[in-house]
Amino acid sequence: MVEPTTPLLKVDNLTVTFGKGRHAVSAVADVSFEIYEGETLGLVGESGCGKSTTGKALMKIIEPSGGSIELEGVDITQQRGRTLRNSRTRMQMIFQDPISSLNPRRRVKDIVAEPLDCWKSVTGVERDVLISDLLTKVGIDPAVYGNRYARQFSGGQCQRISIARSLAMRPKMLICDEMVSALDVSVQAQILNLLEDLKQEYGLTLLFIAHDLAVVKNVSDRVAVMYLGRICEIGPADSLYDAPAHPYTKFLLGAALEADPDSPMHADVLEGEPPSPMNPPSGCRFRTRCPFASERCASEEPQLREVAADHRVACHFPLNVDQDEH
Amino acid sequence: MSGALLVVRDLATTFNTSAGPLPAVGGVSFDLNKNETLGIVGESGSGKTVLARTIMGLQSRTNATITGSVQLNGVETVGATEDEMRRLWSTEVAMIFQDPMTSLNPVMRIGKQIDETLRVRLAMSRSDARARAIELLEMVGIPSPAQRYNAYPGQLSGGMRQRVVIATALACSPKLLMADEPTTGLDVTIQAQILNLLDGLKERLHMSVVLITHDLGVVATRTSRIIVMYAGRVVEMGNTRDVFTNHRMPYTRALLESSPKVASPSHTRLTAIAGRPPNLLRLSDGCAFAPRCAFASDRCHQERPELQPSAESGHSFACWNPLDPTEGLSRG
Amino acid sequence: MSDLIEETLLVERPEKSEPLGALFWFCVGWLALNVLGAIFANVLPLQDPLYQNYSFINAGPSLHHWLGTDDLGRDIFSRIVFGSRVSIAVGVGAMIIGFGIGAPLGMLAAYRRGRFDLILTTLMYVFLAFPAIIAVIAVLSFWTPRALLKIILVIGLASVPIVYRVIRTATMAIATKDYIVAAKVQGATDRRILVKELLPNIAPIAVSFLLIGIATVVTLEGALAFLGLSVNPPTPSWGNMINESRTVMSQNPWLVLFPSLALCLFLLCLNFIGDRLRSHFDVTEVKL
Repeated sequence: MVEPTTPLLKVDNLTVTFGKGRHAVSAVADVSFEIYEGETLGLVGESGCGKSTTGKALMKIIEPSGGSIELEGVDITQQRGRTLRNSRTRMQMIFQDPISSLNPRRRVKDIVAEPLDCWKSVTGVERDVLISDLLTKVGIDPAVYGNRYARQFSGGQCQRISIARSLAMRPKMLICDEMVSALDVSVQAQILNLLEDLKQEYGLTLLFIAHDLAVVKNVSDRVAVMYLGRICEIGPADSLYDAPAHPYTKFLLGAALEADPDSPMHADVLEGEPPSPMNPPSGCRFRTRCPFASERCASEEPQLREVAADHRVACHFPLNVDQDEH
Repeated sequence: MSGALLVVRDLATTFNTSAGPLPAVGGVSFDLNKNETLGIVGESGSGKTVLARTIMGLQSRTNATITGSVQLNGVETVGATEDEMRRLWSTEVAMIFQDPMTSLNPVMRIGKQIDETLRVRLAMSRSDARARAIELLEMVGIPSPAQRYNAYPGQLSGGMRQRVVIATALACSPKLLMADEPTTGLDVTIQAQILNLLDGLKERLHMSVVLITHDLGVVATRTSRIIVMYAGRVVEMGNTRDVFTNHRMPYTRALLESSPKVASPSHTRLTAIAGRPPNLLRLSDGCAFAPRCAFASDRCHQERPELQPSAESGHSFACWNPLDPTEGLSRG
Repeated sequence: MSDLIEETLLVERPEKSEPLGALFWFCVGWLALNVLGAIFANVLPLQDPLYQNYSFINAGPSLHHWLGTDDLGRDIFSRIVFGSRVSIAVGVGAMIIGFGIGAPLGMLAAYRRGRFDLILTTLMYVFLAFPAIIAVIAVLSFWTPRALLKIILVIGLASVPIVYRVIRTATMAIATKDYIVAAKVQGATDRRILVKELLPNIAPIAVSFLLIGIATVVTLEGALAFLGLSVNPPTPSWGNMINESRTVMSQNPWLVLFPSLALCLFLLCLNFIGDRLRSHFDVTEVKL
């Protein structure tokens, strides 16, 4: 894929720390990545890895403690008030819980029209046509369901309405925070297909945050794996899954349960529990559970470095790769 | 069939709601032998949890009508009183649930919760119970079990809590363990640990396990037989391998094809099932899956198919227009 | 897009909410009657509530005096109707002040959080720690001469902390929901979020608390009257009348009975309506 020179979203050393002093929780630590226009970056990791926090920090729902976020070249980290609200129209978010994403006391049509009404960008007949169009695109018949209250819909339908709402202002980027995790398998498939179609039609760029490895791979062009607030590995979806370079990624993929009775049973299961983000291990945060950990891993924190085309790993001893002498 | 540990025949649970009767489970029959692992697979609303609770005797009869028969080691449980069931619970059959935080009493130390079972059911003395509890904690892989004995559930992580729940369930060495979504909501790596643990314990304690889940990946490699449920009824049943590779019921195929695979390349188009799960209050006379089935005929809409045997032994399905046995699942 | 067929085969019936019930409407009717009576008391064909007819002292109900007369010969029925003015005025007036100040502050504090919330809530909780009734009694004892407006003001201000707390708690439960975050993310101003997203969800709780609040205040006025701290006689109020009846209880049971009945019915209706509305509008309640 030919990459344009300026990424749509450029994140540099993003840090989010909750609390202060001894009780500070380092949820996201020095996370950097870029997303180019038209691509989908998957952000995957287990609970506590900071992926949801990253998504929320990008939307400025949570205040970043450090680092910069550049959207179309403009740093939005320091923006406040009206400028921030303006920037937000270019980036939208879809949440995990479909039911609580919609105001139960408002009608579907009004919910989807809300962004337009906030900015008064489109009014009158044009507005109604736009709303009906959006609802139809996400598979909800506006004539039958448009005037119903949001509380009368199922999880899958609510998620469709959320998608319609987020597209009303034609954002350039959509952050999907675990958006299919609460849905049934068959509904999940419908929503994922819908997302793919809309991405093509609206020319969207996606950041897809999830914990389900198969779902993330299906949706993404590139995938970033997070562990305890840091990115371990980032690279093209297919090559990352076929040949992971970071030991954590390898374990993660090994643990994934495939719906195939012939899939190989992995004897090496990752033992133990993730350490507390209040007191992360020094150096490489994964070293306490990594079978390949050495002294260097404890003293020196590995930085992301390129090990293959567009494939970067934060590890001193990445797998399947010839080592440079240090 | 008398050697089977669990014999279920025509089990049906119907809820009496203000909007009419809701047939949550209908016409379920299967056998479970000793040391066998059975998977029950279905989406939400398929009736799998109600089925499990009915088999366990946990389904209250105040607003539900239960018909059919469930024989656990020869003892009939449908219609049994709670006292009669209590004799079976924990010693013959135990159940673990999805959310370990609600399965454990948050204000009671975990050691005490395990003790309770031992002292009430096996009449152990306090010191014996404590020793056994620590043994159990170790068996389920909790580090420093003697210290953790005094911990509160809130001090443990999700994976640890689920291990404690398993320890409590297995305290009296039941012969059958029903596990309802035991790893849903847990991290992938923890999920693998818990499932491996269950596998090991199953071997060690010579236990049969019924694994109830919506996740096909969980049952694929860890069960010998599976049952696929839809709208409260069994739609396909057989050896795991047969059901995965030679399934006959279109819903089974649709379910398999609609979940993304790690092995498939990125951007593989998923074959989504059109429409939504049926409203159990308004089930038609025909096959419940017919409105969403690509192969539905008139007969499918009018007459509900019964289970019929397929080529392989033990494999049956409920469909008027079954898939050709050689079609199976295409590998991507 | 062919696999996105929305299930139109089973067109769902629009949700039919539980009817409010005949008793509910009866209560509404009774309250409406009371309110109308209070408003139009002047033009209704009632006896003069202040006219003392010494030939009819402590008389029981009769055609001429429907509910009898009190110990000064005044018609009880018309005094009850005129007295409802005081009760309703105090109830509604005090709640308007209480909600007018307490509710917006509560909503704002819960939505904004931070220092604003911290300072305000601490202040309110300090006030809440002090028994409101004692404060009201103390203030009204010293702030003479008594007037209806003063009573309304004092009770109204005293109710601000509790209204603040209830509205704040209700708002906090909603302010963390995803749809509020979604609204912010869409670029809605805080004002818009408060009015369009939060208010409709707070309204049911607020309304039923309002009704119960009115009931509480009306009772409070009755209690104040007992202590002689309500409106000065001869202005009738339900509390006053009950108070006056203490001395002539044995001779004139009607003076005890009818004002008490009027007060009780009024309160019962308010409470019932408040509760019914709350359960009617609770969208999260599972209807089994």
